[in-house]
Amino acid sequence: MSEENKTSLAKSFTGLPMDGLIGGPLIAAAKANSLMAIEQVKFLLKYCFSKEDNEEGYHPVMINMSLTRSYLSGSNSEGEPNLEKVTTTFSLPLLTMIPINHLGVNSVEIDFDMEVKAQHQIDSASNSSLIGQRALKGKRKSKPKGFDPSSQKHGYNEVQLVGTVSYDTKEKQTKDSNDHYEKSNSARLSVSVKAGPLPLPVGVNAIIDVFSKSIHPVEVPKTESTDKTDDES
Amino acid sequence: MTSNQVLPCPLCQTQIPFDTHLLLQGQKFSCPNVNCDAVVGIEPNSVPVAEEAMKKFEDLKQEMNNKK
Repeated sequence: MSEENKTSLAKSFTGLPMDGLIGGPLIAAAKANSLMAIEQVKFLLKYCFSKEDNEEGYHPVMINMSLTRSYLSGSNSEGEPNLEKVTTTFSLPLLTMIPINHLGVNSVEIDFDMEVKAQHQIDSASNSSLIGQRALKGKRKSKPKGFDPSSQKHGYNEVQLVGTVSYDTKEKQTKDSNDHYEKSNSARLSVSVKAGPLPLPVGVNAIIDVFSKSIHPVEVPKTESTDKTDDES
Repeated sequence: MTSNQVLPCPLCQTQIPFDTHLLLQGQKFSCPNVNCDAVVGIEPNSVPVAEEAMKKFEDLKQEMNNKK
């Protein structure tokens, strides 16, 4: 057995911080979500928006759509109404046609049994520090209790659990009494990740909503100046 | 239809469900509002742009599935 394998085996029995066991899969899921979101944004900016070199900001790529309506116009020689069709063209952002689903991880289940190997409590003296320029006559002020957001560390009275993932054979024996299991150092860590379509981001919905509403023609009220211009023409 | 894409009717703003692939093949979709007889489709000159974007989107989805 190589020296590296001996070292890794020894380390496996010393235990892992509990926050790493729980936070590790969650952090991995968050990273996966951010990667998917970044790829989607890149796609949108590359194919659904355009940007001129001398302009700031992006413009949506527009496609032309046709709108067909039927209407009755007059009647023929037999007295039957004439049904005619009229086609109108309107523009629509390409973004509305792409079936964008904000695909991401929406559920992470972590299931494991943990055997606590050790429990550490950080000494309050080691966390104390000088605050400000004025030393209080040689006395040191201790950091406040609880979590300090600025340093991302806990104050004193922090407890850290160290353990290993374990498999409880006794629990298994109570359920299946006919089966026989030998106690071993086997461990079990089950991580279930469920991915699915998440609601579109508010920003994307806003863009789609704004351009969708702009399709509907709006009647511009006539002003006096336009009336005069029309009369002169 | 495999996808749940909708676009607002230009006349009555009712949501018109459509399928992007069928739309690109030339199919038109009617407004579900019984009082509105609007039928929408894509103009032929816009089909290449939309087809390229859809192809790139499908490639991106395939790439994401392969990475899993």
